[in-house]
Amino acid sequence: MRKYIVRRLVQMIIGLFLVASVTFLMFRLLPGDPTASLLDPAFTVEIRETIIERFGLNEPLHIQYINYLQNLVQGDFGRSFYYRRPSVEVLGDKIWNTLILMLSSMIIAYSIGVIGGMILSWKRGSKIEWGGITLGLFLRSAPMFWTGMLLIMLFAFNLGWLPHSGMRTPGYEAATTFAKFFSVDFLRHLLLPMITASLYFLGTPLLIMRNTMLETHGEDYIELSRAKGLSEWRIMILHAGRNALLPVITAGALFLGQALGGQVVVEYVFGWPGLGREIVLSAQRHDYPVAQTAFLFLAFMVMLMNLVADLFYSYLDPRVKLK
Amino acid sequence: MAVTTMPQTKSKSGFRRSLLEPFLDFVRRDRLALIGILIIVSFILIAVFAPFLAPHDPRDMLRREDGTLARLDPPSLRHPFGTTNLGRDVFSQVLIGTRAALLVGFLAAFFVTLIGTNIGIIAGYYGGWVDSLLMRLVDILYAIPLIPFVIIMMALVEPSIWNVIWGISLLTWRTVARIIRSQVLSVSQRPYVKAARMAGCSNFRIMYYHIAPNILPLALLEMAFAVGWAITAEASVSFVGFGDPTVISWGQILHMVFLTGAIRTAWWWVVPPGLAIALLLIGVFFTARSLEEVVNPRLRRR
Amino acid sequence: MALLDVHDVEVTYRTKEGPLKAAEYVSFQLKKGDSLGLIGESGCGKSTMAKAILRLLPDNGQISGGEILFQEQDLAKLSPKEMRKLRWKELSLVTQSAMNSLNPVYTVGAQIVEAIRTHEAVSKRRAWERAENLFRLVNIEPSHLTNHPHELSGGMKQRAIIAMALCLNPSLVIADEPTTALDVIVQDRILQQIVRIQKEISSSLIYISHDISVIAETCDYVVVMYGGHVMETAPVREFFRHPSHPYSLGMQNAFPNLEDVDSELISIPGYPPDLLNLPPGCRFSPRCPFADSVCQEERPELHFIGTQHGTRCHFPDRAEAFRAQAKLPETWTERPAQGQRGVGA
Repeated sequence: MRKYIVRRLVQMIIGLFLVASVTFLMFRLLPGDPTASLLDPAFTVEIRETIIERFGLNEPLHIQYINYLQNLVQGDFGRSFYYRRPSVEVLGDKIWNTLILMLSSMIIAYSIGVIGGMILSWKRGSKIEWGGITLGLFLRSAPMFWTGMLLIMLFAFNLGWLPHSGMRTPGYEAATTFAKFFSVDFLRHLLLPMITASLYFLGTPLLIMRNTMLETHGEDYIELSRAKGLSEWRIMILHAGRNALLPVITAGALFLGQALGGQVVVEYVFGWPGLGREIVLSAQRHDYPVAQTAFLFLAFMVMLMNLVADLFYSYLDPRVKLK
Repeated sequence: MAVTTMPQTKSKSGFRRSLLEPFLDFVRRDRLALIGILIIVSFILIAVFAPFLAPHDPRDMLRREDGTLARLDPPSLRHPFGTTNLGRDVFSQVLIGTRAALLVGFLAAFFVTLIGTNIGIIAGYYGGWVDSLLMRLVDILYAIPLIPFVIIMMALVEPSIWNVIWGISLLTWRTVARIIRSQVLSVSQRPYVKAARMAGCSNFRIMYYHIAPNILPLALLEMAFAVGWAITAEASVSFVGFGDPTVISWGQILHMVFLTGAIRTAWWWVVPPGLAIALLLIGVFFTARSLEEVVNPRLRRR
Repeated sequence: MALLDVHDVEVTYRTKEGPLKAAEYVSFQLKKGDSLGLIGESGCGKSTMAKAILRLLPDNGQISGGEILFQEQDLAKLSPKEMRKLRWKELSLVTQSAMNSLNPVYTVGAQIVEAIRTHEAVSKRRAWERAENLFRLVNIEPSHLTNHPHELSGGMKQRAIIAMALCLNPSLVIADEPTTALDVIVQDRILQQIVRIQKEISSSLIYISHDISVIAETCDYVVVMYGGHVMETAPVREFFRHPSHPYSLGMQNAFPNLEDVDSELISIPGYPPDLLNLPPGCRFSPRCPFADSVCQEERPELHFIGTQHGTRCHFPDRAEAFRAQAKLPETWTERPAQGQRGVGA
């Protein structure tokens, strides 16, 4: 087990290195000014040239690449043009904001989705199933930012119940870290973006759970469970459900990257100060060091969460031995 | 069960024809699939005839009868979906926006499926180091979130609809490749593929004549999903302001609402473009769902 | 009074092509402690009967006629809740595929304990001890109870399922081709175990198989099914000494005979009938070498030629002559293969 985790971490580092390389190529090779990714357009010509000299931007590409990697290893992700601070510092607490929004909506969506999927498959052929499938497909079809806008229109502007943007009311200062993330003020800000993301995430586990549950209905062990005289509930949850959950987790792990990517627009709509919103803002400001760093962080988060999902899977499926 | 002992009538005119048959058969019987296809066809018709259907030029700043700019007018007979803050007709914009959505959706999905299927077939068929190499590449790509990737790409290059399509295609083939590969692995084990190998067929012939037809339904299914992802991605990227500024798209319409703060009042400007995206994707997913039941017969109702 | 009295049972499946009668006019009795072999080709309705008795028919199937009297109550009329109480406590099942009949995510022990504790209010510890004893009974090391199904061999899984089927001392065990997935040697050992334990705990057994020799070894009575009908029913000795239905004759020809090793194996030409498109008369008539026009038009009744020996044939009195002719290969080959299903022939 420990060996497995170590091996996966090593793989992850290799993966990160490759993603970093892709990012490097993307920022240097795409048409446009190759120095744009490092140079603040506000600089004067003289300063530009000094910096080009100092950062070795006139060096051949492979030297630049090696420099870039060396800097990354030393934790130097470049300085933000906009904030005039190291980009790691800029993004530090934004990671937590993104994680909180992401995890809370994932947990809600998967709990409801898994239970809903079970019920849909058990009500096979009924109106409930038909309605559930349609709802699931609709939730997956409605773009997140649009759902978010509708919720803002309704709950923030029309009814005035909830704030429409941000993470805290301006001027509000939390006394402790706990209060920072569990105060009523914070939760009120979290509610709308969380619902928006959950609604979108919900479709996938709901439909997959229904499908895999339908597949387990035909299994011999389900028939044997019935022959054993177990109650339908027990069969549905402990036998069919427990097995059907496995593919849902696999699919969920693959969905993580997409969910995190999609969350970018939710953060943007709700002014949620996370990595995603920062990517949009830094891209608009041409603040490339921040964009690049946030992008790397996102990739890292996807990889880490995939690892967690795999560990969870092996915990649930005794047939999988981690080696 | 006894039910499955029904005689199978199989036409001898080759297996190719029978591959799409179950799908067509399904569409005939499956209500959701029929609705899905009707929705897609309607959108295609709207896209083709948009300039004739649109009552106004979507870029015209329209005036009311008293000569003032028709700024944020609510829906009326003249403007079924109302107007924007600059007096543009939302209805016409939404109609024209269909073109961008379909163009991006179908072209990107086509490239995604083309790349993904070929890589999946090659990886699955050759196995060994070819397979490992390609699948490690897929693993890496899985870590890259699509929408941020396209946003950054658009920030770096000229934002254009073609670049959006390339951006989506470059990354999304990973899913298709992974799924097709595992299917190819199982198809390669079938007796007729082994027989073809024994008979000395070339690798190319085995891959594209013997194996490819068997994964066609699955590839089509993945393509349907890819249409969905592509349309969502394009809308998201345009919504945050990195779309093609010369093309009116649904995402871009919503970008303008959000940017101008009209979201506080002008619901008629918010609802229609989003609903159009949702409706088109519903059509795609309904169709995909019925394809899914063809690919995986265990999901079918008895 | 018989433990189980199946009387004129009819099972219908709804299919897209119309209703399909997988079993019709099926009757047989089983006394306490006896064993009965249900035999026939695949699709003859034998598994359907097992599922009907346990009320485990799929959603599109139903018992559309007759009664299944078990301990003098009609199983076909019980509510799902009443039926659930009876299952496993009184009626248990050894399934066809041991490989997939255990839930892969739970230990074997947990699954046995679950069965015990669903029906009896005993502590987990007590239930586990009983599971250990059962494992000893079927010759598996009790420590294997903590294993997950994938860690056991096929034979062990099958024996674990047998142990599970016996855990509540049911009055009737239905074994639906329990050994088909196993290799011959393991098959034989498991077979003997089933018979031994069944006698030990004096439960009744219905053994379903397509293999006539297995039935010969295990059972006291034989019921032969074909195309959803019972064709012949007899005590096992009587059945092998005086088979009377042409189908039984054909079937005995198709299996090696231990007393007459040199005898040639002859198979019955043709295919079992399509249940959606049944012949109007005797269901075996299209393949029967002795059939005449009556057979093709009229459905024969089950004629009793002994107290316990019945045959669904229009000519029960010609059985002697049939037996002699059936030994000759020409009898089965000369006849033009009419009535075969057009497809795949």
